[in-house]
Amino acid sequence: MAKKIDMFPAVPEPPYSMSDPAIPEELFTDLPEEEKFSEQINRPSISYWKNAWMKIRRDKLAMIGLVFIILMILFAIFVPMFSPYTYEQQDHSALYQPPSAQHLMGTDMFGRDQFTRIAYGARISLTIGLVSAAVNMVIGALYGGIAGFFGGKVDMVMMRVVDVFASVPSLLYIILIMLFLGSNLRSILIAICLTYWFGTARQTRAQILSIREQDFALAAKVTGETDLQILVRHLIPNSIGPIIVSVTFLVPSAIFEEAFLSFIGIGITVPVASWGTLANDGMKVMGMYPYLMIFPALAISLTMFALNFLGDGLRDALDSRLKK
Amino acid sequence: MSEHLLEVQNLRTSFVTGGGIVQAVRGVSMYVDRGEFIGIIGESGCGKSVSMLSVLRLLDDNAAVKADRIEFDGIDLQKQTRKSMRKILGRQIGMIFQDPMTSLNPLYTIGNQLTEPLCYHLKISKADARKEALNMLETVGINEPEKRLKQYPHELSGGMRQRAMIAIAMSCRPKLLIADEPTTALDVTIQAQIMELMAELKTKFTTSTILITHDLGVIASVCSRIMVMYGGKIMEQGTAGDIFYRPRHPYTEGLLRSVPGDGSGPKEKLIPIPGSPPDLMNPPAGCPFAARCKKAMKICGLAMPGLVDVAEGHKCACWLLYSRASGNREV
Amino acid sequence: MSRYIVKRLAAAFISMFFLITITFFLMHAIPGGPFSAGERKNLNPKIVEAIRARYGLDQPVWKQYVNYISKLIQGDMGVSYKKTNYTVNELLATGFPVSGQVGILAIVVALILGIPLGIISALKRGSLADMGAMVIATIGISIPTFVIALLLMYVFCMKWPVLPSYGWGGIKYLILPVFCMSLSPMANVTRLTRSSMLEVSRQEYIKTARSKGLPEGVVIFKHMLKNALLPVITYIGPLVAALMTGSFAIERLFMLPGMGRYFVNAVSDRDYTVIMGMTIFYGAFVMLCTLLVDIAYAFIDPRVRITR
Repeated sequence: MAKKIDMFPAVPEPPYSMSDPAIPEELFTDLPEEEKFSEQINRPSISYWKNAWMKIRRDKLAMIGLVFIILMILFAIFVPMFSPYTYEQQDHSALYQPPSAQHLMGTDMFGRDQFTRIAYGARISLTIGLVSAAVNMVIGALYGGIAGFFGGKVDMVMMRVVDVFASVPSLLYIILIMLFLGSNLRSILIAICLTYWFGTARQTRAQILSIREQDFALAAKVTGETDLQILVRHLIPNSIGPIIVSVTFLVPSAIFEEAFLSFIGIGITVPVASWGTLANDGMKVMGMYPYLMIFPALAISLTMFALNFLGDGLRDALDSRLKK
Repeated sequence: MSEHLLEVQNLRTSFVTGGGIVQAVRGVSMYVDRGEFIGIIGESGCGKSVSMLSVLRLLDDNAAVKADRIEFDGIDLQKQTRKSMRKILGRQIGMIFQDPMTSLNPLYTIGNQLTEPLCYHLKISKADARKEALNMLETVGINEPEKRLKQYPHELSGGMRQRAMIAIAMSCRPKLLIADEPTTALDVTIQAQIMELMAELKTKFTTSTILITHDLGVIASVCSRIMVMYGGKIMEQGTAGDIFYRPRHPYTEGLLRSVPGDGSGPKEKLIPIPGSPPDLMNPPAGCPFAARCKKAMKICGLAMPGLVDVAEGHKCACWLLYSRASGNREV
Repeated sequence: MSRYIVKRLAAAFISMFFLITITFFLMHAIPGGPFSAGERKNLNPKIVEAIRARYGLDQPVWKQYVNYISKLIQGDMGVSYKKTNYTVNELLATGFPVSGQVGILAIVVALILGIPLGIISALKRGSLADMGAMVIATIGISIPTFVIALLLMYVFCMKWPVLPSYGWGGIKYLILPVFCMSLSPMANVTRLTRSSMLEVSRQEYIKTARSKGLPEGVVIFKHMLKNALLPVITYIGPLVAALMTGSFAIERLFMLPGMGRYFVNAVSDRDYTVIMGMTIFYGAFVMLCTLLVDIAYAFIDPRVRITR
């Protein structure tokens, strides 16, 4: 941080000055054409995405987040494959084992290996996070994009609908859907997807509306581009950055939501475990066996950290308004 | 002590950016006399605004400023603390910015923003400040000043806002007014009115004025002395007559040819200067204009020429002025 | 101004109507009911029939809907099917003060801590203070409320039992729930304030304010902060509604007799009247808060013309 930068690089003493009486005659001949305009090309132009990637690479916290998420994905894929235990395999000779070499994170009240269960939980949480973010981006961006693009009455009706839905407590929808479809991964996914897209839709609409107002969109119109061309060539590319950023923050929110639902007992059902159910089970015995609560809590919190850092990094990199 | 109101010697300003150090101003020396109206002209990014903001210490934290001397009205500005600097800004030096749409705070009325410096610097009561504000609005040619005081910036037209901005800058009767492209964002007819107003105020209050612009048309009628900047350096300086009728620097010539003038009538041809300004992250060792200059010589890429007198008060930095250069080339 | 408010209230009523209708039919579309025989096998089907008839549940859904609406207009939201001694109005009247109190305190704490942290971190961008504030803010949004609650309960109620872990009584009972609840909004307020302060500090009018030679305090608090708080105000509206109507997790963990606690149970029990009552209350609260925020916004930002 405290690297001393020389703000005023020394100006090299010019080899010749105006008062020099004897500058070689040769120097007063024309500068060859090929030496002219050379400065123009010495800084290559960088594409938006390449520039964003370069910025993220410099952002230490975002890189830590990215690496952590990749490790977590690998953990979720491979640990259940190679673990000697399964998530439901009970061992009544090893109940409430503290963390040890056999059981890295101890065992629970049925002697199930917590390390393996957390890895299974990671599968569930990451699936929910990534799938719901992707679905949300598609639904929300389409809905908001259509509303913002057509404007007028279409926009008004579509946004009123969003307003009504958004004023219902989302927990109500989620619980109703869970009751209707049963407590499993699929219904949690559907419930989260159905309640989360309002935000993305509103944001996309606002983006599209504000970009439509800007001069370059008008310029495109003046040059005779059709509405569709403007949408594809100008509106989408210019609003995609902020939308991606907000969707990045949906991943942790969805994981959060699932953990919360499972924690209050209406999420994933036993013996399948998600991080939320593990934390809930751990809570009941946290006085005696704190590790049963701490490890799931750590798994959730660290993943959230990583995702939020990554999201912040993405925002700084993609939000053109923050460009220097 | 010098006679000049503001004197700057060898000013250098650099910015830290993601990509490295940008040397925006590279050794600029200038002065303004009392009651003088001078212009600084150059393409965008040539360092003209930055050099003025450096003098007033209004740059962001990522900027560093160094100069052999920055003296205003006998005060060494480099020695001022932030606090004592604030006593000068707004009181002794007023500033106008380019875009009147964004340079006024949208959440406060014109009256609020106009009486603010009055109350703070002159320590007068709110009522007196209001009277003075009304007076000032009238002076800058705003009709119905009573009503305008209560209005918010968005309720005024662009020209009106710029007048209000000038009223704010002039409210404490500063000795120096710095106008940073005050007409760029305005319609052409409004531009003329604003320039007229500034010239008028200059005579009325004998305020020295520095006008920063990239528009030759704006500068011609009002400035007594003009400086031409390029690549963070001063290329040529002289009276308006010197610059417009006896330019010596190829860049000044290029500038004049690139704008419509009254020279050759309807068939006049506008000739743009090819290329773009140099990258100030890696400034060229020689003349920054060499790469775009039609008359460039080999020496131009090697060494920066110094400013030499070509006539009384007319200076130019170009190797073409070197005694031996003129022998085999025509200037 | 008053015309605008009337217009907005009318729009809110229409929205409320849709909200009530959609929720009502959605709720009834889900299999099972408050007295479905499946849940209470030991109940005589005849008795169940009688109870269902007493509450009008044997009638077609549209008729139940009409009945409900006509009663609702008179301000009667019915009787809870599970806690039969209570009307829904009574449940809301006992639950809301608790949830509202915790919620308001949490919001106050979030604003009192969040705004200054955001300001400091924006003004000292890149400094240790900035990094500290951002780490706190990231912790706030990264750790689920229930995890924080569990950790705090473990520390302050089990390891060093200085605070009660559950119940409702004096200030002592408020400390942990309020702190847990305020953490995530505080983190959001901090981040929001910081980014919007940074955005505002780049504006031309801040340069104008500085060029007037105003004291730094005036530049920051008068010219920057007022502009920077506009997005924060927008965020506060829905937040107030969400926090004051109670958090299920917090109220369950700390066993607070608030509104949020009933909600999940009511939905699983198909306690229709309670579900409707809570939804209406929440929906009306959200709309009211949004309206208040919009009015406040118009007072602060003259560019927003309210008489449209």
